[in-house]
Amino acid sequence: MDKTNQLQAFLSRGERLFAKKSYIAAKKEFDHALHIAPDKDTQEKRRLCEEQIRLDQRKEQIKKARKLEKKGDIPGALNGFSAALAATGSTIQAEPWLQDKIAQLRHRLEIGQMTSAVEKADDEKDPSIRLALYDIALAQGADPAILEKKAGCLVEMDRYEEAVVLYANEATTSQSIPQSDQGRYDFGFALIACDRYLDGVAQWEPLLSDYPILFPQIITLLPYLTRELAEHGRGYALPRRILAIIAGTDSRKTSPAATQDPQLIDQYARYFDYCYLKELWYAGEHSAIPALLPSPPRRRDVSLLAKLYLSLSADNVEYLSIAITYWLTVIHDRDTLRSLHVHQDTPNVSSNAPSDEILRDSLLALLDKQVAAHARSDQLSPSLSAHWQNERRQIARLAALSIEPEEEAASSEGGMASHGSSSNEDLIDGDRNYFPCTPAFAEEFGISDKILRLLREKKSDFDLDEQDWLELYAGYLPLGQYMSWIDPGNEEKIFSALPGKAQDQETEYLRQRIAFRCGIGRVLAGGRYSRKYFQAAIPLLTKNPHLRQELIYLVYAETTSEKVISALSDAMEFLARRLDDSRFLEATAHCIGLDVENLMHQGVVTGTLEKRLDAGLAICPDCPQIQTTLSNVRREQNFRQLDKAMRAMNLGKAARIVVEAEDEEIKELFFDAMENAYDSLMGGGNQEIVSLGLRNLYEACCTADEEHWLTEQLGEDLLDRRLP
Amino acid sequence: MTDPFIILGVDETATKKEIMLAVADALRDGRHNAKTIAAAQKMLFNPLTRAQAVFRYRVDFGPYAVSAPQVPVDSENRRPQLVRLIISP
Repeated sequence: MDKTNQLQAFLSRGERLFAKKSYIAAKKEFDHALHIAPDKDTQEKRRLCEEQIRLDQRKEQIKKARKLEKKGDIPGALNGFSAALAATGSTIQAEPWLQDKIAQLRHRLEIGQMTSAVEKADDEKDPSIRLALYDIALAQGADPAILEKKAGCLVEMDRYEEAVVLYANEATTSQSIPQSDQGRYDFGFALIACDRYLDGVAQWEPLLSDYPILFPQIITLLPYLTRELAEHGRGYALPRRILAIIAGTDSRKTSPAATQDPQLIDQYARYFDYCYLKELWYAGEHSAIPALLPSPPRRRDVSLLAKLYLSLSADNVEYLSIAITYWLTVIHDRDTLRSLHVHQDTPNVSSNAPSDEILRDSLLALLDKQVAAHARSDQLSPSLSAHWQNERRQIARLAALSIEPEEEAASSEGGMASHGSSSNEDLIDGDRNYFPCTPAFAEEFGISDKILRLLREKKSDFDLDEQDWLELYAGYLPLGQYMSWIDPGNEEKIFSALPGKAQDQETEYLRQRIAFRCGIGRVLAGGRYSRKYFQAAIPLLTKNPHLRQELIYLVYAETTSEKVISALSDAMEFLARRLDDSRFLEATAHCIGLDVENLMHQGVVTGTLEKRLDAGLAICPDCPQIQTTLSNVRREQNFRQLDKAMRAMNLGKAARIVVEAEDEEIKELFFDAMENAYDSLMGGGNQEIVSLGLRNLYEACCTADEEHWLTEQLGEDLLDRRLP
Repeated sequence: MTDPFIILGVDETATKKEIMLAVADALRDGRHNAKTIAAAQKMLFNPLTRAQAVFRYRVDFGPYAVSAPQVPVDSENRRPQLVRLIISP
């Protein structure tokens, strides 16, 4: 075969292979052809073959790399994709996805390397080597978990301050460190090692319920924590919580070390309670204090509670009732007032120390001011107001008696609680003698009986009016509080709970006093059926002018509503038949008069009004109000009758009503009506009817008032018409 | 905060001179405004209002006092000797 034929054969095979996309074989054929005869076209074909070969190789590399990636061979895949990217020449455009893929695989590879470095570090026993490995891992990117491990290494290596700084720095950036329990423990450990016991224990607090293994370490820390807290005087809430967790954890779950000295833990708990109490008081966080004190309160808590409740009641009226009880009792406590003079007697502290009385009055004024402030803001309920008045009045009465439980009794063992002791001893305890005290205080502390016994024993020593004595005594009896106030609707319940006719006069006084309060309660609610309560209170009302005055006050008070006047008039009418008190009788008539006026305005029929008026007039005929009402009722009656007569055109009767009423207003009304009739009559056409009408008008007007101008006018008109 | 003793940082036995010094300190510290400090000073200078303040704000915590347990603390090692634990749930 000659060269030309050979060339043709190479070229034609090359073309065929190129068409079949066998680029390697085609390239070989073109190479042979070029060897025989270099030609530009063949060279171009050879170049195209080479380019296609490169493209195929690149596709193959990508395919391989994908397979490797699937298999998890990240370095192999990365090499494959990188080679594919490198194969991108001037003629092949680099795809963005390939570059992204390479970046992604590189990142995964770095993470993998970091993880393996961390894993390798985790297996390392030497903390300094671990620290170095963690640093390497961290150099590739911040990871809170590795940071915690690094901090743990620092703790292990006693580099506590560095650990604290690391945690603190990370906390400011990630807001969540430490994330693991071990990290939190290590952070606490580092803080404790830096003498920051409270901060350290605060880190451990959330771990305690799951890790009782920490209890012994907490117990070891307590003396140091105590010393640190004492320096600052605050922060006691945390150790209290922690000791509560330890005390509340089932001892089976804890190590023996944690439970070996429960007494010590209890002693610390009580010490922290005491410190926390002081902390709260001086920080002004008073609302948390009641929970720290036992319930029911002890005598020794009274002074603190009085101050506490006064403080709390300034903003919360819910505390006002108890503040009244405690504050009044404490400011009447002589020992408490005397104790103030200890400071005032200090040289240079003060001269002109106030007397007990002046000081007590000023302290009472503080409470008074607080009560008034609540009243101004409409927060003082009637029951609270009654409680305030009653407590204040009763303790003042008791204090005025100048009796004091004998001091020598204070030394007796058992104090208030001792049974079989004399009443004097009962009013004193080892802490404080709270006598006098308010009735509510006496009831709360179970000393009402003892006060009553003392009052009985000393009764002959007092220069007291019988009613005042009974009022004082009954105030300290059970149910005594109801003498001042009964919640609306509870009258029947309280009345039923009262003893029947009592044996002793004090209990009988209480019974009648509460019956009276029940009656007042019913009246204030505008309800009828108060008579049975007042019936029970009649003996007391006959003797006690103050109680009668209470009813009288209600009658004349401007704020008393029509409804209350109605109920009150009924009750007072009932009582008036049994009480011989001119002021009360006049007030009763006044009240009936007001009630009748109200009924009249409501359009009640005259018969009923007259019946009520008669009752009022029978009680006190000279009462100005009943007289005014009487005249008003009469006038109303006359108006109605006049109106009726006028409508019936019974002018004669109407005129007689005017004469009998002797009331200028009625007369004026009558003549106004006559004038109108006269005007309409004069406009009429039938002279006979006009004349007849004029005569009728004249006769009626003559009867009513001969000298009235209309009468005279009518007379002249009749003369003009020549009518007799 | 209305407790004049806390505002001025003095106790109930403070003399007038001590109160004056405390007023100067309180004004310098700036924890309270001048009006509050002046009111506290006025309250403590008046025997009646001072007695009122003692009665109202001072509490005798003596009856509640509990001593801290007397646990010997190693004087040479000011810090507690704790061993770092590896904790696991």
